[in-house]
Amino acid sequence: MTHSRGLRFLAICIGAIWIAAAPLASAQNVNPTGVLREKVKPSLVAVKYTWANELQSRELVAAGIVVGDDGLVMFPLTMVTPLLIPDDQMKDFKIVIPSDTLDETEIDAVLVLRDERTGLAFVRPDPNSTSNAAVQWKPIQFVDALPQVGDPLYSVGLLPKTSGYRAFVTSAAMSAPLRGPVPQELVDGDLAGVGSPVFDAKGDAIGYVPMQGNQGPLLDNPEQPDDLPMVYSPAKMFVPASDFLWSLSPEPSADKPLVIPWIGCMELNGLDKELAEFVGLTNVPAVQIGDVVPNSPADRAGLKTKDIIIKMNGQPLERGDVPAEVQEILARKIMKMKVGDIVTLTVIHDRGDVPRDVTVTLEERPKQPHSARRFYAKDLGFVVREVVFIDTYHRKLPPSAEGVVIAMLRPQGPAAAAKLEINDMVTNMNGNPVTDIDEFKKDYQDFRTQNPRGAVVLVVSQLDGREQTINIQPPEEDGLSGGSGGGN
Amino acid sequence: MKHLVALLFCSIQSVLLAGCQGVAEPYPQATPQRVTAVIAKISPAVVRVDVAIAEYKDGKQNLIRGNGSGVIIDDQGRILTNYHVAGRAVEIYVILANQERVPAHLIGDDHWTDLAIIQMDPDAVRKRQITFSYAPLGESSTLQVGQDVMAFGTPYGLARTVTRGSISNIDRTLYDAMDEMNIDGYETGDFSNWIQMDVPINPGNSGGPLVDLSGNVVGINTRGGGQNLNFAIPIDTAKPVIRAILQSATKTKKGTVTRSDLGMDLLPLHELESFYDVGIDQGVLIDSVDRIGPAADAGARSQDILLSVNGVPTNVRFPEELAAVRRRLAVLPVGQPITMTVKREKQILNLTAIPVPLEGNLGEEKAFSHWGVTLRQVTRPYAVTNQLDDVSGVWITSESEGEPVERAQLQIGDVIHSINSKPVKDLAGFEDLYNHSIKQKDDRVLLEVQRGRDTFDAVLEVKKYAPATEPGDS
Repeated sequence: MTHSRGLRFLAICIGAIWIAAAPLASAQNVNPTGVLREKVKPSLVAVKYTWANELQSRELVAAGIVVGDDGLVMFPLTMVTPLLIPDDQMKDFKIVIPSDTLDETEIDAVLVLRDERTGLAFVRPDPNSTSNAAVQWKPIQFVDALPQVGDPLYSVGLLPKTSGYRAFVTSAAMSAPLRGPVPQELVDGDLAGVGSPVFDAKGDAIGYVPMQGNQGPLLDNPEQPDDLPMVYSPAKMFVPASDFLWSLSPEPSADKPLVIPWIGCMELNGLDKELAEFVGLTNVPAVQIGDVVPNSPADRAGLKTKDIIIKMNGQPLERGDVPAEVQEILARKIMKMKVGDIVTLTVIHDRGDVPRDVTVTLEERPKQPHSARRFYAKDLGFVVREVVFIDTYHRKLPPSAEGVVIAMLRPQGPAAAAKLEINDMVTNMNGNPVTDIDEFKKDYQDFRTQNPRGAVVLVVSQLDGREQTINIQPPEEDGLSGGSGGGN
Repeated sequence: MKHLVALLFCSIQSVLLAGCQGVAEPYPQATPQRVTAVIAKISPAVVRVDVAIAEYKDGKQNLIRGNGSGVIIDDQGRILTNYHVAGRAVEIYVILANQERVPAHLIGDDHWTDLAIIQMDPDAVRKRQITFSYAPLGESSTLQVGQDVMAFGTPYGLARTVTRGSISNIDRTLYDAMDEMNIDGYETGDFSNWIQMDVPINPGNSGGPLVDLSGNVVGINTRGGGQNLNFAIPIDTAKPVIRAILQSATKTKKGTVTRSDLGMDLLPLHELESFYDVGIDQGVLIDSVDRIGPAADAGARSQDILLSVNGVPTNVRFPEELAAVRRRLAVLPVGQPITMTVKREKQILNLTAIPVPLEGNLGEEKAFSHWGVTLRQVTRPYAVTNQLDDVSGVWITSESEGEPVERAQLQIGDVIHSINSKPVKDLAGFEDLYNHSIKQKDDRVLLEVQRGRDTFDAVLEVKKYAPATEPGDS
């Protein structure tokens, strides 16, 4: 910290000299940070959207970087994490262009892609918007270049909304490369906030700042409106462009939805040193398969639970900083491949086995909860969604098992009062088997039309596989409007 | 408001009694004479129970000291108390009304009813010529709401404490709170309802007798709901448990109650009769069928209505009726086929099931100190609720920091399926393989471990991380 303050002080002094001696020196070598801030500022925007679920809505803002001539903006995936936020709950995207002198400009935008492989998301100005101002976008071009340890670095980011989205610049020096599923570079000094670009001494954009420590992606955290974590406990790590450049080229497009490949090994465990020695794999990075999903690509290729993978496509596995990272690196490598790609894994099952090659053809990953369609039974206060692979997997049911899954409950609502729980899988409603979300929605609405105040009896399968009969009494008051569709 | 209701009831009753001279009292009242007579009769049979209970924590067996109450029930010096007082006790002393302190031991216990029987050491009693009396067991089925009762015990260790109040309810089910009622994870209350009373009891009263004004034990004080809301186990629930424990106990094995199980959850049908198209007070809903168990083997399904077992109706309309049906199912002979008559939609089906012995979720637990771990047997219910493929293996309940199991990054809840590639069937099987490994002086041990759906190998660095203590003390 002390060192970085010193650097900043130095930068300010140099700035003063430069003003005094402007005709004598070029901007580039006298005031690199000031020049960089001005150069980068037009490329820094805020990305704003409304996360609206069936019960409430909230506006979120994060830092974004313009990366395309047409206003394509990349921002941290954690703002729109698929693990938390279903596809249809993100609305009213805006690209906010800050200004030092005027009000911010808001551009209507659309979500282009959530790229789980690189941890980035993308928005683009809405081509159908009639109110968007004409903007001359100034994209940042990332380059695959990494300075040496000790070389200077700079980062330019935006302060939170409460500080007027002012651009700020920081300086640091390369400190150490770290190994892991997402390679990260440790710096000595300060980086700007999450989602900010990082530059080398030449001013080339060489990476961006990911989530870390107590740094969140939000630029307007309502719980801590005056918090400035990027100032008081700055980021110390960045992701090099080499890790995400391929996510930008070809440019992401909403017309080409991401298809993530899948091998069908649900659990992978990096061998620790002790186990590696025990099975004769000293100094060989290796991963043990914890569970092969029946009828998955891995299963059909003949991989077995407890097989130990020692090579991928003939190459030794990549080592992480700790054993647990070997499997994450492997899993991420597979994730970055394409459906239909063929992967050759070299495995042993027991100590002393002759390694055997298993060839797996990657298939499309099963549907995830965030893309499942939903329906809100408003009068009883529960939201159901489609059953997806993970629901049947957890319950040890065949993937063909039918039903719908409770995705949300209104606190204190009739369903919550009847002890219905999130993740319960509804297999039967009012004596009729539940087949899918469409049938459920239709059956529910028909039942409500015929029995405006009828109790609803659900049979649910809990996460532990136990079943339960839930008798939900409708609310006493008027206004039983039946369910409302919330799905796509 | 409750006070007001109780007072009103008392005053109306007084008027009625006054107007009905010569009519027998429905139950003996707490007159000063009766109260002193009951105290004189019962007090010499009430003991304070000081225990050291085995608790498995941090990879070791530890002793937890505590105290409760008990009542001597025969001339052999046998004492009835709560499971949560003396069950799992490895060291017991009782303090009699005459303040003599006598060693005792556990005869048997039953967590399902929260009861345990201990016995004073006969040699100590004889040698020290200790005298005591025992309390007669009455009947709880004839208790009436409003009846005066007295509690004897040692709240907060304060021996020879007597409190007084009346019965508030004779058939209380704590059905909705069953999960929260368990004793350190051991199920309790499935097979009985409770006596609710306003008699003040506090921690330490547990295991002491609830006595009517005839001086008979009608319940065992067990749970406090706070202030004037307390619960006792009816003595009619306790009597068969006492018999079963005493019959099954031997010098080397503690007594237990053998019950059978069909592996299914039942749900009262109240408000669901028309939905399932059954008559009022007909059958009980099978809410869930264990993935592994007799009901599943018999082809029973959740949503079947169980109408009868071996022709005897199993009607449960209200939660209060559930314990009685569970008790009836629990006495079906293990291993002998029974007929479950179920209604499935419009059909009536007769299914044949073979009851298995009832097990709780928590199996037997032991410490294996050389590896720094405590483990439990995987029981059938544990396997069912944890989605295990079968009823085998042992699971980690605690670990000692810095010792082999913790060093191998195993976690509480992990199931161990094999040691050095030899399968672990149960806790005894694990113990054999563990002892063998220690005898072999294995430096390293290979375990196969299951964590959720994940199966992996782990190596214990025994030589490097085992504690300095002598091995073999499991």
